[in-house]
Amino acid sequence: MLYFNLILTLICFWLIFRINSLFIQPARWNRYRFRLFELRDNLALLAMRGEIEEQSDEYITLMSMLNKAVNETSKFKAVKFLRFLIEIKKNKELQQKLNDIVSKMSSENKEYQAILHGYFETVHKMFKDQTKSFYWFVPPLIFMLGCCHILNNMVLVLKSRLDVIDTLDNDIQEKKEKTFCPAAA
Amino acid sequence: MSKHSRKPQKRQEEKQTSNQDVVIHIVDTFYNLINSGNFVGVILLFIVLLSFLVVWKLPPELLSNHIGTILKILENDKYYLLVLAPTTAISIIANFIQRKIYKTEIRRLVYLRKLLMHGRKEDILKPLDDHHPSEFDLDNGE
Repeated sequence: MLYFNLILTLICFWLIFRINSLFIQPARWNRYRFRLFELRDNLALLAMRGEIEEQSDEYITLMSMLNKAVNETSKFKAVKFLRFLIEIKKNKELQQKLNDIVSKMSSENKEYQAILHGYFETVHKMFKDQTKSFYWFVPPLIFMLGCCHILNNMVLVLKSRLDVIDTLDNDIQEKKEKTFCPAAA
Repeated sequence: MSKHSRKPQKRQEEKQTSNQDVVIHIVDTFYNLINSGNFVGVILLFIVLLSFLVVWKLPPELLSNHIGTILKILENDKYYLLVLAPTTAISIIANFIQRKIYKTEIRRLVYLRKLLMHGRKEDILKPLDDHHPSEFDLDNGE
């Protein structure tokens, strides 16, 4: 009976792993992916209605950002997603374009503003989702390793990761607030 | 002569992986693992495997003395309910979550299709000149 129960426990654990990787994780990502698809379709509809120029910077920049974000949801690699956000942050040309778009759009097209806000909101949610578990595990780990004075290299890397995550969080949060439009929300 | 010998050495230095790179790689792997939701599972699995090993290696007399209480739970006739119930519950919840997400997306696509068909017919919507694909790989994407 004892061996049977232990084997049953192992099988159940294996099943939970499988359910997590085959169903729960893809569903978690699909939720964001579908939201990005929706935003992309809304943007294309705006262009089809003639409310925004198809060749304009606003359309091309946001469409390419949405497409890149969709692409990032293809695999569940947290580090890959962070790299994607760092690339956006480091791309000065794109940052300039985004700032121009945000400063220009203030009163003109509420629907476009809602899409842009939706993009930052979705990316921020994805970001929070990705970094949530990192905050649970890493600060206690840094504390433990720091107290024991072991693996100093790893403590440094973990600390720098936390800094990067904080910077990215502030950046997306700021853009999300700038593009918020109560009328379109 | 010295110039020639420096070049390959420089290249070799560039190619070598530093300790820092190894640490970064370990941190990244650890980060991906905890984020996949499998980290807690790995710990639990380790505990189960460890208890399996202890039960197998220790003689029954010692076993009853040391970890008798834990084994009493494992030897219980109704123990299977304790593991099967959460597994079933998790699979049902996963099914509900999936169903809700896909149903919402299908509803949105139905609405969009209607909008496109009527919009094109009534000439409210104009076709786009360029197509901007995401290059999302549907076959390899998860």
